[in-house]
Order: sequence, then structure tokens, then C-alpha cells
Amino acid sequence: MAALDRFRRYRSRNGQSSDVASPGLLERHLYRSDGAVTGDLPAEVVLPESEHAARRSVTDAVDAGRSIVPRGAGTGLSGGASPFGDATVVSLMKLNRVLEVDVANRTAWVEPGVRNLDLSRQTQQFGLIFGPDPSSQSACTLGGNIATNAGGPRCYAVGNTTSHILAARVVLGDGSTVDVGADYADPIGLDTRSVVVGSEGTLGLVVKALVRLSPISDAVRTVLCAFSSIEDSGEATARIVRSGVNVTSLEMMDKMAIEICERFTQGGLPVEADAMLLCEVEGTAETIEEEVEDLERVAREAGAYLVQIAEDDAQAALWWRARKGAFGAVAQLAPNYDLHDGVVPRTKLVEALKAVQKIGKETETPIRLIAHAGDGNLHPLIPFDGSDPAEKERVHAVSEQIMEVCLALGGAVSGEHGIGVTKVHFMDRAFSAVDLVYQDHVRNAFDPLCVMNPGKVLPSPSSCAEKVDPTDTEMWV
Amino acid sequence: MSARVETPDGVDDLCALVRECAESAQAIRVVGSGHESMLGNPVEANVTVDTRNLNAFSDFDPDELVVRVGAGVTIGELRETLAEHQLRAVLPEAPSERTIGGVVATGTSGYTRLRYGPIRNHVIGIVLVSGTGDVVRAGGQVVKNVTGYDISRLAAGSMGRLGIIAEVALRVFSVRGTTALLDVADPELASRASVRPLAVIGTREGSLALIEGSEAAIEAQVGILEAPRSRATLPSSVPWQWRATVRSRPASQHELLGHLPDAWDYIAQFGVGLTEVGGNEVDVDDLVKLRSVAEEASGRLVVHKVPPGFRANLDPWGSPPGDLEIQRRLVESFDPRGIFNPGILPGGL
Repeated sequence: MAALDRFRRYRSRNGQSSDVASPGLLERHLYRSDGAVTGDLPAEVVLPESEHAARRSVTDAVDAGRSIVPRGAGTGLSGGASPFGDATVVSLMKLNRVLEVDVANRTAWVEPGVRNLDLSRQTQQFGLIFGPDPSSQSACTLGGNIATNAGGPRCYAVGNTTSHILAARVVLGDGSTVDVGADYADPIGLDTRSVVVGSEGTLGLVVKALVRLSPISDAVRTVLCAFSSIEDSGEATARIVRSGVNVTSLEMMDKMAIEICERFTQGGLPVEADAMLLCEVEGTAETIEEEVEDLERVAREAGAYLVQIAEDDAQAALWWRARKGAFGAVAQLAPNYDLHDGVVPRTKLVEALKAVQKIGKETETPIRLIAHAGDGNLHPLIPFDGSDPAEKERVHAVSEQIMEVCLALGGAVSGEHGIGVTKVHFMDRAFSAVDLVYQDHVRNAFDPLCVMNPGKVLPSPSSCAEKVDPTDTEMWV
Repeated sequence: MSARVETPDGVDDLCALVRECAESAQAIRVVGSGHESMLGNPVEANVTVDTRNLNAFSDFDPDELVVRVGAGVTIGELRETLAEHQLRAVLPEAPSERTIGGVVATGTSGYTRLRYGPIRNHVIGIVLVSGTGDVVRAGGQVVKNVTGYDISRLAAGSMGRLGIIAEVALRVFSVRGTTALLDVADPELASRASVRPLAVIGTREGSLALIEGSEAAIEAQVGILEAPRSRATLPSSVPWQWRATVRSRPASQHELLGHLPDAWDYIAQFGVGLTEVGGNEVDVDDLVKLRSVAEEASGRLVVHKVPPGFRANLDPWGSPPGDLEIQRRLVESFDPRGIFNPGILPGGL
């Protein structure tokens, strides 16, 4: 069999190849999990170091009858990069060069293994950064950001990753490449880039991308607003959004989240508050004070009892470390945590938050509430002990209830983490059977062989779906 | 225009009509106001579907900053409704009769895309009627959503080939204070200024920056840009007899303008890389020359409107994109009988 011969040739040269690394058994165990879900031991893990090697990785895996699971840093939270069945994990961490920075056009060609924060560190000398800023930005890669259409606090102002990807080269399941998008305004014909971003590796491997860079504002202020109720913080969110004040981040934390983050970072958060908003305001040296004044007025009118402006960059950084360190902070409470990213219409934010609190109370489950409030994007954080099967099952049940709340309020089950395997069983509640047929058409247009990350995003009976029971998946963080 | 013209009143009507056409293999030409009716390859159709009666405001809560409307709602009506609530969308400036369905299907953004990004970034939900008469919903009405493939965004600029757009959910933005137009000497520099103008537009008459804010903020921006308030108004290409757009990298825009024949008008959206060119008398040779220059600079020239008689000799799109095969598979799966605007896309898709 030609395919088998080809596979054997690949195996025999593997290890000697200079552009594909392949870890041994022990290391392969590390690739069973992403940031939340443990899958099966991958049959093979390869780390291509060139586009050519990435293409070969795909064809060799297919010839061997395996599916392909693309992977970046593995910080995803929905099992998108966790392998199931007979799979080759293609880690893109060694395709990690910034190929070109075009300052005049505010773009950069990057490989998928470049870390989010590293790109901004390299471009800030030109007054430019990559807009999306997930909490994991010091670890997560741009390839992973593209796969999940990642968000972050700044996405309230700048939009998710999809608004920052102009073009990409994609390796398809047959080993061919296709270029999507364009480096000029408005690609002609169908904008297939639109579906590649957020496809969670189910359409192909992105091996390089043209990203848009955003200018760093002249003046930035970080403002902390404290409230004596969730309702007031929700009202303030609505009014700030409506006011048009140039707020670029609008993050909410409830009392339990404030307490645990403060204990972890000693950032000076208002532990007595029932809720707080952490806002970033941008402008020019001439306009920033007016922006901050307007924000303070709006927040106080909505019931903020404290509005504190960071005195310097150090204080702002401390507050942000407290917010972005929330996921590390819960490690003090339990070895595992469950985190979802459902979204609700912004005007339903308070209703959603109170519903989640009610679920926590009724199930006696402590839920720390964090939200990208400006986008209506919830981040209920549930610490638990994964070694206790009963507790694990209970947390799963609570998560399901939270996602039901989001759908019932007219929202969506994922705002920035993706569907992966953890939310795939919600797809037929979010969409009709007909809608899902057309979602499947999109997948088949790119991957008719059904080899790219099967079982993710779309539920059975998708032609590409393998049955993965989300309750069987193991949350490991 | 085909002899039979249908104006469905609702999605059910539209589905029934599409099914009937699919079963009898009748090609459909989809139109809104007809403003961009000459964009793309010529379409031969048996039936024209005019979407202007799909004109309901399905859902609009000003505090949500999202509006969900039928495809036939005009941008004039939408702009007026939004303005009553101090809101705006990235809609083209004119003509006001254009429908939102047409604007999304052609992927047309307004001048304010310099600040907010193109309209496709803001199409957060869509209802399509596919080529088999299925109602396909994608996205939703939340501003952040990664639930499934982004078919809403894919439909933006799809020229009706994936389906007839019946409804659109659009993200909108709060207006802050008032707006002002400034005369700017260096539009490229202004488009990159820290004050982040809403738009910077250049014509043969000069260049304008559109800014907004409180009176104090506007004064501050006048100082930063070192630009006086203008007595001009934003230009429009609507009166032109012929029209094309040059799509380029923003930094190539200035050089491309140097290649324009003197007789042509232009409206350059600086910082965006989009330049409308046009005028009264079209010269196909000059257009072909400019296309060549644009493509050498990694851009495209797209012909939107030419007088009758010129269309047959002019490829509207230029060199096809590299993902044509994927585009073909998508079109064939959404419209398996090829009934919607057949052939209108690049490569005759």
C-alpha cells in the first residue's frame, strides 16, 4: 500500500528530520490536555518547523489513517486542542517567527507559534500592539487566538481576534495550502477568512497570518469603581457603554471574586464591595481628563460609592494583575476550576449574573463571578476538586445550568473560548438542525476528508463528528 | 431586469418563492435598491427578487447597541432611527434608499470604518434563505460570539451567492457629542493621528478629517491636527456616471492616486486603503492600466458601474483570489442548483 509505505518512510526518517520534531511517549502524555480537558494519548505528536514540514505532518498523519489535532500553547479552555481517538497532534509552537512588521500599514506577518504578548513586545517600539489580550496572553499563541477567535478585556473596544486577522495561509487536510483574506481592504468574492478564524482547527492548520496592529494610545487611565450591589455595577456598565466614553476595557468582578483575587495579589481591591468595575480609558493628553471625568460622573450616577483612578502605571498594573490572575488565585481554593464564557445581551447582564448567583446558592456551589461586562461576556469561575467524582459531576451540572441561562436570555454559549468538546452538545440547542447542516457545509468545503480536528465545534450527526461525550472528559486544571 | 419581479413580504414568502424557483431551475437575481446592480459579472435570471418589503425593525433596544432589521430596511431609515438615540452604524453615506441587505451583501462600509472597522466586523447575526429554500440562522444578537463558524461575517460581501439575506443584526455605536469636519493638509498623517478621526477623506478639492466629541474635545483635536474647521461637506460618488474602487494597502494609496488620469474624480478613504474613482466619461484602457498598477501594488480594482456597452469588455473583479476553489464549494453547498445571482462572483462563481 502506497500510503502505508509513505507512512513507514516518514517514521523511519522521523527523528533525523531537521524540520519536524516528535516527542517520545512521556512527553506525548503532556499533549493529552489543553487548559481544561484531558483527552486520549495522541498516537503521535509532531512539531513542524516550516510550512513544508507542516504540510508533510498533515499528509503523513492522513496516510496513517489518523486525524489531526492542531495545537498552540494548549491554554484553551474548551478541549479544542485535546486529542480523541487515533490522532496526531500537530503542535505549531516551533513555527514561531514574526516574519515581517509593516509599520506604515500597521500589519505584521506572523507564524502561529508566536505568543500573543511577544508580538506586542516586538511591535511596541513602533507604537503598535496586537489588540486582543486574553488573560493567558503571556502564554497563548496567535495561532491559538485565531483558532478560538480569542477575546480579552480590550476586545470590548477593538473586537475579537477576527477583526485583527487580514489574511492567512492554511494547510488543508489533503496537504495543500490555501490563502484566505487579503492584504488590501475588503477581499474580493467570499471572505473565507471569516470562517477560518474561530474554526478551532477544524478547517485547516494556519501556518502564517497577516495581523492588524493597533496604535498605542497617547494617554491611558485605569479606573476602579466599587459598588454595594451587582445591580449598581450592571447599571453602571450599561450607562458607560451607552455614554460613548472612550473606555477600552470594562471588567466586572463580584464580591467573592474580589476577595480571592485580593488575597492572591494584594492589589488594593475594595474587598468590602459587592461588585467592582475595572475600566481602562484612552485618549490623548489633551482629552484624557475629560474622558475620565465623564466616566466618573456616569459611574457615580449609577451608584458607584468609590471611583479611584490609578495613581501611576504600577498601581494600574497591580489592579490588572489581580484581575488577570483570577484563574491562578482560585488555585488557592481547590486543585481544579471550571470556567465558562457564555454571553448575554448587554442589557441582560444583571439578570444573568443574579441567575448564576442563584444557581450557586441552590447547589451550594461557590461561584466567583468575573465578566467582560462591556460585552455581556460572563466568566463564572468554579473551583473544585477533580479527584472527587461526585463533585466533578456536580460542577458539570452547574456549568450546564449556567449555559442554559445564557441561551434562555438570548445569548450564546461561548464568547471567546470556543466550543471545543465541552460545549459541543449545546450546539443543537443554540441552532436548529437546518442551521447545523449549513455549519457542516462550511466544514466540508475546507475539509471534505474530515481529518481536521473531528468531534470539535459541531455535534453528531455532523459528517465529521466523532462521538465525544463531554461528561467523559476530564477537567484537569 | 427579468420579466418576473417578486417582492416577498416575509421570510415564509421568500422561502416558498425560492423553493419554487429551485424546483423549476429558474435563476434569481437578488436586488435591494439597485444601487450596486452593476457590481460583479452580469447575471442572467428568470426572476428578480426585490427584498425591499422585508423591512421590519425586528428588534431594537438602544441600550443594547445592537439593531436587528429586515434586509429591506433602508440605510436612510436606519440612520435616522439610530440618530434619534445618539447612535450610528458603519453605513455608507448615500444614497439613503440603499437597503441594509444590499449593503451587507456587497460588503459596503461607510467612511467611519477608519474608526470602527468595516461593516463585516459588525454583522453579528444573519438570517439567510439558502438555494433550497432553507432558513439559515447564524450568529445571534450578542456582540461577542464564537459559537460555530461565523457565517454572518461570511455573508458580508457574498453578493447573494450563499443565500438571500432576510435579516441582519448589526452592532452600532454611541455618538459622543457633536461631529466636525476639518481641512487637513496631510491626510495620511491625519488618518494615523492620536485623536483617531472617524474618517479622513481626500478628493481633488482637498482633504477632510471627520472628528467628534464635546466642544472642548473638538477644539483640542483642532489643535492637535493643526487643521481649521472646514466649510466643505463629505463628498459622494453617487452622481458619477461610472465608478470603480481601488482596494490597496493604506500606505500605497498616495502613490496610486498619482496614476489617476486628470479627468477622473476620486474619493480616497485614507488609512483604510479604499479609493473610489469615477466621473462622467469612462476610458476602459485607463481603467485597465490602473488595475495593473493596483495589482502590482498587491491591491485590486473593482468596477462598480459603467455605462451600457462597456460592461462586456471589462472584467469587474480583476485577478481571481487564491481561495476560489473553497469559495466554489461553499457556493455549491449553500446554493446547490446555482440559482442565486449565478456567475456574479470572481471566477464566474
